[in-house]
Amino acid sequence: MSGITRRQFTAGAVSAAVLASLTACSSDEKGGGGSGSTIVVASVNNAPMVTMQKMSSAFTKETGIKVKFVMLTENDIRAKIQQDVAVNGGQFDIVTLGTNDTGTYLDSGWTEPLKPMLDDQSAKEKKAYDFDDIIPAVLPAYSSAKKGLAAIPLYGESTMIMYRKDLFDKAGMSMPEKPSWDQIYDFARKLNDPSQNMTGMAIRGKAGYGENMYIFNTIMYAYGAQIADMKWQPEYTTPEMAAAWEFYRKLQKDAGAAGASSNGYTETLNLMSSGHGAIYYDATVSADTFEAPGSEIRGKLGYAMSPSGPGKGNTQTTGGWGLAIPSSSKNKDAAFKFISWVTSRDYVQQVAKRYGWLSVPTAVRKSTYAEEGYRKLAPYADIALHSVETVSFAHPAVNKTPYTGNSLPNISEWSGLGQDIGQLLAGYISSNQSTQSVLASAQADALKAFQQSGRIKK
Amino acid sequence: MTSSAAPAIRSRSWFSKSSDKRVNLLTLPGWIWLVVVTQVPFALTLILSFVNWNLRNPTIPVTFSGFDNYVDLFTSAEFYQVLWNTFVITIGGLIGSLVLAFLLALAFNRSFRGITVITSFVIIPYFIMEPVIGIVWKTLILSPSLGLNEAISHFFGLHPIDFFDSDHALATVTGLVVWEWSPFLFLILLAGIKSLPEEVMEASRIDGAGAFRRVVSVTLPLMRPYFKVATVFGLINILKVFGIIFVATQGGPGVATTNLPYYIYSVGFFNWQVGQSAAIAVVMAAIAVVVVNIYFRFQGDVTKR
Repeated sequence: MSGITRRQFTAGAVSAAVLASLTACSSDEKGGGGSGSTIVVASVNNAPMVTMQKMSSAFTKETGIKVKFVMLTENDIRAKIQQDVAVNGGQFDIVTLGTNDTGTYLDSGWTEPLKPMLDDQSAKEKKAYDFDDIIPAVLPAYSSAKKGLAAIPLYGESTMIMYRKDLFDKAGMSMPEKPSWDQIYDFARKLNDPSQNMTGMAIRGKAGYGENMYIFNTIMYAYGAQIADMKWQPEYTTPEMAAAWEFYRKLQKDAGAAGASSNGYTETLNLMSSGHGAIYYDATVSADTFEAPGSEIRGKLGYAMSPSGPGKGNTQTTGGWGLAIPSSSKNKDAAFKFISWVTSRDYVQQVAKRYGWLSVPTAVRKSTYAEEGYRKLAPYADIALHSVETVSFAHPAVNKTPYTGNSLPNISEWSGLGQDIGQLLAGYISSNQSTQSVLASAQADALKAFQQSGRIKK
Repeated sequence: MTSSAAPAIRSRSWFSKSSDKRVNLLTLPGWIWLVVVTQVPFALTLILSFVNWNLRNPTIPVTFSGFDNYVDLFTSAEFYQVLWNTFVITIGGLIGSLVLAFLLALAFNRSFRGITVITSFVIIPYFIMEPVIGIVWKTLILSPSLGLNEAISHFFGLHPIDFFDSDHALATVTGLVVWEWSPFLFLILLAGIKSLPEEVMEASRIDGAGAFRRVVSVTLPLMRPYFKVATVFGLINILKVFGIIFVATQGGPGVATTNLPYYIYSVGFFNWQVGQSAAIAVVMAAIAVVVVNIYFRFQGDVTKR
């Protein structure tokens, strides 16, 4: 018998079929915007988003719209979302965007402006949603200067000082409500005691544009420095910038944690919440963890505003995650329904009822801070609200800047540039490298980034 | 008289009308799969390496940039630092893994109670995912603030070493690579040691060779083929280490622990420079091919033995 036998042909056909099924793309059924449709949310896996995922069954029950989630860590979900929107992939109907992405994404045509959708709500819906309840100061961080509202914040944050009141009382010290960085350094040095495993200053040191740079840039502005001038010429070699870098290294070396260059948000939070930190400077949402039932330091903390420096005060940053609709989504109506549901006043009440007041999204609605249930559990409510309300998103520095945003500048280069600078800073604090040489490298990196993006001619 | 002639050697030509052709046809799906998942992505990467494409900035058009990405790469001081890091992690990790694996193989080349259970503990590191290795070692063991490092240093009244600072990070990452890969190489070398002819070992003992002499002059030479296999597997796998670096150091401090795979990732997913990232990937693939070929040429093919 010549040629292939029937058995051999069947085997080959089965192999080909298996191959085809392995390489076939699965497609979820996506209907229109109404009941029965399914929307896909790409989200970072922070606590409020996990709560959102758990609560979404209530939304499905109300509207019949199913919600699927793709939840990953920050860097991974950013990469996934970026790749999808850049090639118009259409995988997602809602994406969570950080404050440094929302404006640029809308300007690039990758997401939909949300103001028209809000305007299209009925009078009854507008009243229930109460858009004016959203803290006005946070909205610029989720908007484009050219095209308006790009995302609605699910939760936000600012930065503030959190310190161990008991240790301060024991040492006979008192924290002012608006301290300076010099004062913080003095306090931290006095309380730093490695023999007792007590770190004077728990502050991030791990490299990353959303890690050490998120905190360090507030110090940079406090010292009167900034990333670039109005012509986009980098300003990493100014005396103010050198002073900021030197102060930050001095703070870490004299009062910071051992191995600070490896400590990001999570490690620093753990250090403080395990009772081994005296002073902590980071996101206001950290206070929810510190004051939660079962926390080792619950009830032991005092709170103060973000420290001022020789350059300026009012240095707190703003951050958070907003919900935006990609332009490639085929379920924009359903997506907006979910966004308006999960950012509504009613949602806050539902979360409080189901998971407690410390689980509600914060730094978004003024009304949350007036709730008695929340204020009872959150002694930092007033100072956190004041931090958020007085943040200056448009004018973060002493001098005018060509960009908006605080520690997360609203520029497309920031993820790369911030990562490079963050690596230099982490290396600087864990070595004896000269300030001049490291800042020369930072200047070169910034110049290259702005040239590649076309802001400066080569 | 029965013919004892060997069957005629079949033609190796693809167009042979023998049953080889039917076999070749049945392997076609496998070949298609191999080409689709290996060669097509590489070809696309090669094409992308000649393109200027910033995924994050749509105002910059995607353009053909010729060899600019390669020129930028080879004229960048950072690239040579990354190359050096890759060399240290790969060669240091390989040598460390081989030495530790061989010592373990020698130790386990005997019979004692519980050997199976202990062997399974020894090979556990190989089955742990790289990111988990990075997190556990960085946070629970080596952290000078919270880990075992701090506890032990505190007990002895010493200042804990920061294993991830500029001075120690590269050595630490290399050490973690040894911890991860020595169990796998141990399995290869253990199989080798156990297959050594016992009469040769017995003869060397009778001749008066001590333990050290037997290892150096008898065991090691006989183990050469197994070392070749272990070296090739080790080289290929350690060259592409990524998870440990991603979790433990993010390539830092500075670029102190950035190796080629991490460099590809950071340029592609932090700087969003698709073309530059592709160029680095092509260079890395070329280096891997050259290194493996040089090794085979130097050592001779295992199958020829």
